[in-house]
Amino acid sequence: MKSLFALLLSIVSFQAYAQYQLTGRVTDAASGMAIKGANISLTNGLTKATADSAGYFSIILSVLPDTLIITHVGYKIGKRVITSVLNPVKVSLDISNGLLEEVIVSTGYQSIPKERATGSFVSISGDLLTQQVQTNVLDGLPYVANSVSTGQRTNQSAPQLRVRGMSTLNGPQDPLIILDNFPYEGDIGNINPNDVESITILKDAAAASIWGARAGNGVIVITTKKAKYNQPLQVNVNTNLKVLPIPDLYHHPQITTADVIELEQLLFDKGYRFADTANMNHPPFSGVYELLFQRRNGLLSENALQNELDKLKRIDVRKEYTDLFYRRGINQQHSITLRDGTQNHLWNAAVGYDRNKDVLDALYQRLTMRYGNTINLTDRFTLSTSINFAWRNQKSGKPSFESIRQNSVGLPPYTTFLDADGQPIPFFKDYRQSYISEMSKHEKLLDWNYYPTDDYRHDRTSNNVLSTQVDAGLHYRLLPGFDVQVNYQLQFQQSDLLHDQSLESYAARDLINRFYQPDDDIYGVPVGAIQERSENRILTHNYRGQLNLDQSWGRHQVTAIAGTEIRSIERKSANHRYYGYDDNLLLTSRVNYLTQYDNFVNTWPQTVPAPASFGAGINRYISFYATGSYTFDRRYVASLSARRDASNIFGANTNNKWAPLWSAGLAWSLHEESFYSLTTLPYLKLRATYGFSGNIDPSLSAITTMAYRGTSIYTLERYASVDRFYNPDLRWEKIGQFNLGLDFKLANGLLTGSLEVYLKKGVDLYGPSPIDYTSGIGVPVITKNAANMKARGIDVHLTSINTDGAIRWSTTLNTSFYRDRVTAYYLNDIPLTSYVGSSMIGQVDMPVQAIRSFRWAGLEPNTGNPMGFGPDGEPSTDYNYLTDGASVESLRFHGSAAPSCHGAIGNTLQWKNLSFSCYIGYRLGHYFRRPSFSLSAFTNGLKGHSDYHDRWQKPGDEHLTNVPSVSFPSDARRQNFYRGSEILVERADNIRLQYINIAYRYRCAQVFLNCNNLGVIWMANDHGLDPDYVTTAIPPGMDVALGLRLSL
Amino acid sequence: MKFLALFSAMLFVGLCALMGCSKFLDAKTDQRLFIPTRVTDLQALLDYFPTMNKNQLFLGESCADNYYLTEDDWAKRPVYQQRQYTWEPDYIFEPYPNQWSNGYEGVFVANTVLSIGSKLSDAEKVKPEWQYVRGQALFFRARLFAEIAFVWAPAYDQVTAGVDLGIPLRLTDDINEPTVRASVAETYQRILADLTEAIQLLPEINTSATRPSRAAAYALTARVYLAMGKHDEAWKYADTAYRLSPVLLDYNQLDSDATRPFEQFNDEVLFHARTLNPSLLSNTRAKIDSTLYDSYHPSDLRKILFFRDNGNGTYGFKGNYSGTTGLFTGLANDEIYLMKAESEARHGNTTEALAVLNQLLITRWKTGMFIPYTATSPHEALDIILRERRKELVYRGLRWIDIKRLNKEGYDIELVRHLGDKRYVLPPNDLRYAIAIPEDVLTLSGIEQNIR
Repeated sequence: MKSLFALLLSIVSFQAYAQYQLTGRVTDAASGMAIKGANISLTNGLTKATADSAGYFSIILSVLPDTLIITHVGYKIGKRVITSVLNPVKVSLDISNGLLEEVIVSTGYQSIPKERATGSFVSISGDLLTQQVQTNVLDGLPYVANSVSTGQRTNQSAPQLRVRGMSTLNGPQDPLIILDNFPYEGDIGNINPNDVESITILKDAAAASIWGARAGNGVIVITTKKAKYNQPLQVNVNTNLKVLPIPDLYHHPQITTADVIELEQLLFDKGYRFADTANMNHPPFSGVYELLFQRRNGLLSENALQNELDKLKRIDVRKEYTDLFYRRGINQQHSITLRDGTQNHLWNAAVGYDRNKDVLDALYQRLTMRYGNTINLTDRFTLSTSINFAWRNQKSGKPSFESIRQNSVGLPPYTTFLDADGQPIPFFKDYRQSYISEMSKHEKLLDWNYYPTDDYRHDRTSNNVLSTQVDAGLHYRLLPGFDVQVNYQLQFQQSDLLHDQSLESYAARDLINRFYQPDDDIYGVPVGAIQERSENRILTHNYRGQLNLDQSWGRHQVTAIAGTEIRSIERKSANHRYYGYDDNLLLTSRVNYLTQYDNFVNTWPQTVPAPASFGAGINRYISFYATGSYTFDRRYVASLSARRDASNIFGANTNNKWAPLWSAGLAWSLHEESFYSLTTLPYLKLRATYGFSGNIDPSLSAITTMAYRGTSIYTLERYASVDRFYNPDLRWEKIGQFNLGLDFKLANGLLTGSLEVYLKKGVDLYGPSPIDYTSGIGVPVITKNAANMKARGIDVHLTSINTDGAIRWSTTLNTSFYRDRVTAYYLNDIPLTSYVGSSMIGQVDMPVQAIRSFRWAGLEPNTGNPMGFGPDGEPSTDYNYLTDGASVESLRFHGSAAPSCHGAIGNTLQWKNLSFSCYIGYRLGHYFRRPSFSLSAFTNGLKGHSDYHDRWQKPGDEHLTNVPSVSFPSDARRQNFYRGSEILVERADNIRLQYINIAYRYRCAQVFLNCNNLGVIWMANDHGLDPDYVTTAIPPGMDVALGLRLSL
Repeated sequence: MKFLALFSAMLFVGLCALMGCSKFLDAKTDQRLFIPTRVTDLQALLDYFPTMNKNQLFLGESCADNYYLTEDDWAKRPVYQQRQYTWEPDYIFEPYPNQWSNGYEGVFVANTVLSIGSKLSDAEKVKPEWQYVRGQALFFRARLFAEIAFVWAPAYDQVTAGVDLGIPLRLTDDINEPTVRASVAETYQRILADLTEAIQLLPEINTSATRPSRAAAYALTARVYLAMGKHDEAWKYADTAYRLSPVLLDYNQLDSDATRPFEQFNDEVLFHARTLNPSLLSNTRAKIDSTLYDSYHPSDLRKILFFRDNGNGTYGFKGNYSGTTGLFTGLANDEIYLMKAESEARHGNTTEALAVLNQLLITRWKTGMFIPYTATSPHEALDIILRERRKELVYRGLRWIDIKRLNKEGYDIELVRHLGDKRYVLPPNDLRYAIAIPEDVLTLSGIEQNIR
């Protein structure tokens, strides 16, 4: 391997040369004015020149003939073949509007000019993408790419990308990611956004079907930066700093601390959790409960109690938490890219480094390195190789809000973490205060207190990821226009997760104490640190052999590829746990895993947890594919593509392992027709495609399989359970799509755009099928090919230049209209509550993600109980009927949870060297369920929605409010009815200012300021709820990045 | 030419892949997964104790009268549990997961073992272990069917068993097979048929109490016959079990201060099965019926080994043979003694019956304090034995079926619950003795609810 790279590095082409001097002038084709500063280079020669203020230049040629290449910002490239240097040359350049220039789209198998494509592609340049300063390459995509949207954010992790809405009900929803020719199986975080040349999104069947069985959710093709032939050394440097705001813990309206205390007193009066005082596990009680117990036992006077409670009422844990745990995060990103190309050799190299310190002090570091070479070994043989390396390291920081909870209590809002002197206060996480103080007298036990402000220092995780990708490709020009290529790619990703719990950590002390055996005075778990390691490896081999044909004769042109591909993705994992781990001496202690020790707390017998587990598996695919297009007279294009995949989907019948998928398309360039005379519309192209792609869930099985779970402590033999059930009819999901597109361009390029209409039809979609659990399989739902769906949509893309004077103002608009509905659903007997739940239950003629609700009949005047409509149509509180007995038809249908219209509008203003961009995103025409107060949620976490303030309290309130009375104990069916009722459904439409970008360019340098997530501008609901973040997720606040780009 | 070599290599690899692709595609997507083909795989399925031994039904106690709740504690329970406590005719279970699913999960494992076992290769089938595994699977299935039938089916009635609604007898691992209800007669026939075969296949003793043995199968058969009111057969099986497994604990050797006086696999445990800690019956909540508590003599060690003093004049239960807070619902030798004694008495063998009972009770009392029972008639002996049966088998999940079968004979046991001023009565032989099947099961399977 080493010698190969040495060879690649040492190849430099030397050529003896003579010298010829050529002079000339560059002018604007329209005005005849000189073009100052135009760059002049040569196809063969290495010299370069720049036009002076009068447009004149002089350049040295080493060989004749050669071709001059003249480039300048805002103009189309000019070329002139030079056979003699005797006369000065005159070159005039046409103005380019930088739009709908020859855009090359990449499918991962081939790169084709967009003008010759029949399919639907969206191409995003790396420059546009990196306007938003992001660590993850795909994070900024939904705001700049047509028809890409995200699902609702349910937590802080990156939301799921969707291309053209839903294509599946229950299968995997992720689009397929292709990185430089092959599907990327590693973590997307390994890719540095600054290395990206462009991203192509394959939207319709003609574009995506080449990717076969995994393309059903759309395909995103990432192409990294590479050198071009005869391009002199180009150096790009990018460095930026981004500041992340402290999250707003007040985002979700909560009841006040005083209310929490009041409610707790109510629960106390009802005796809630009194039984836990005798619970052998000694579960903790909240601070208020402890005070109330003291009062009840006469240890506290009524006055003293009120004093204490008044003190607590003034505390708000969100403030405490914000002050103590959160601080501004800082992300740094630095990268340098080098590209150089001569006639026979291209190379590129890049190094990137990211260092993010998040709001909780968690550290993220990433180092990426890329090096690539393309060498024309002979005039027929091209060898390309590249090696990419990424290292990532993530270290845990402080605990996030609400990750600290008292077991069976939650996080009381009056929690404080430091006392008046700034010393940490213990937090009673698992056991009662009294139990811990009693046990602190036990000399053999370790300190059993938990200190949240300090514990994270001793309980740390660190994830180290190494990723390597090696590409090799051989390209052989067999005949003119007929090539053969072989590609191989190896991806290897290794991640090591270390979880260290030192002896100072609460987790280690707690475990050691629980395994202390007072009778024998032994520690079942040795006194010392605990380390847990998880190792994961992914090894991917991709092999591809492909024939390329590109022939034209007369008015005919044929482009075709055919090939075979073999892929193997091997995953391995191992988990180990070590007790008494000594980081310095690298020692561990011996542990008896077989003896059942009595749990110190509750005396139940248990063995020392011994996590040592392994995982391994392989996914394999064999595919054959072919795609071709025929162009007649540059006017008509017909394309055809077919693919057949086989995989080792476990337990499938062999016949089902193979899935044939195909697509066909037509395109018609009207502007090339002789009868076409619309001068205002010099470019007009119609496209139509139809085809299929698939979606597969490799975790599904068609026969009963089992998995060993470990060794039984009773029989000391291995025991196993059924893992997947005999389900012989399982088939792959299949998605058919019809796409009709129109591309146009106004004269002068003032307005360009595309309009696309598509129809999508999914058959054999996986669906959750509630199963009669008398069958005993241990799950309430199983996956079946349960449904068919149809979706239709319109994608509009417009780019306009509104003013083109001193101030250049351009606008980009991406809008997608989308609507889907279930056309068949083969499952019956679905409980009514499932229809108003969060799972996707197909109901014919309803959207896939339909939001339905129980009809609301107000609050019962005497009790404040929520009412629906009973069987006789009268208001009723018979919750068994309302949530179970009623018919599906009685539910109210609101609309879809997915927006029927979404998109973004971007405006860019440019004045001299200063530019300003602003992107506004919108999601319209969908619904969400807003949260409200629930007593069971309160008792599970001591937090409640502020609707509590509006609850029914006395007769008459039913005219003022729709929030039911709070009654204890909570009735689950009453709660389910209220949560599923129509009064909690709201319109989710919203418009948000996604980002602004201000850049100043001076010569080769650009300074920029980027602000992300500027917030919601407008939303349809009256409750001030950000519909994208209705559950526990806190929306990201505005971040600000300042950076510098250099192009040398 | 290098290129030609390469190109042919490419073609060659491609062709190989094509020819060998069936093999290439046979790799496992998850290495831990496999299709069970060996007897040891099936044994491993049956050894999965979380399903097969741990998570068992507790309805035999939660519906019965060994305990009561205070109105306060009752009011704090979820509505379903409240309704269960007061013997409501419907909506006494939450939707999945519930006691119904717990019962049938074990049945599915047993059916999977039987179904895969019947398709084993000849080389595997001739192994003696297969007979052992098959015997275990039949035992597990029969035991669960019996547990389910004891609560959801009406008491066995010789006359109407053919038409009374029994339980769904799922005998296959095919999840698409529709669920249908068998008659009570068919239900018990199936249980007995499975047990008869299991007895022939199982070894006399087991390697672990989590696996059934022949003695356990005999004991279970006796329990089933007793529930059916077939005392002759019950006697036969109880007697055999008694001979095979006669060991008793001496309660004088146990520590009454301990929170768990009984070890998990103590010498009396024949087959280990236990429930999770059922929230209605947790020993801080469920108070032992005071009449029952008072029926223990102060010298009866069970009074301190079985019960814990709540310190307020009420008592909770701590005498689980499971060694945990979960109720023991498996088979233990003391039950065999009681079954033998009862069937002897019903046979008219007064002396023999009381001899067996006294043998048991002497180990339960303080040494030297027990005065052996005597009786003048088999009927008197039977009354003593049934009284002692209730005292010995508290919280074993047997009380409900005992009430059902005894009421069938005319014992007229009326169950009463008091909540504040309210009084809930379950008259003898009420239809609600066959408790309500979870409503979502009715929706999903289309089977009919018990007659209300």
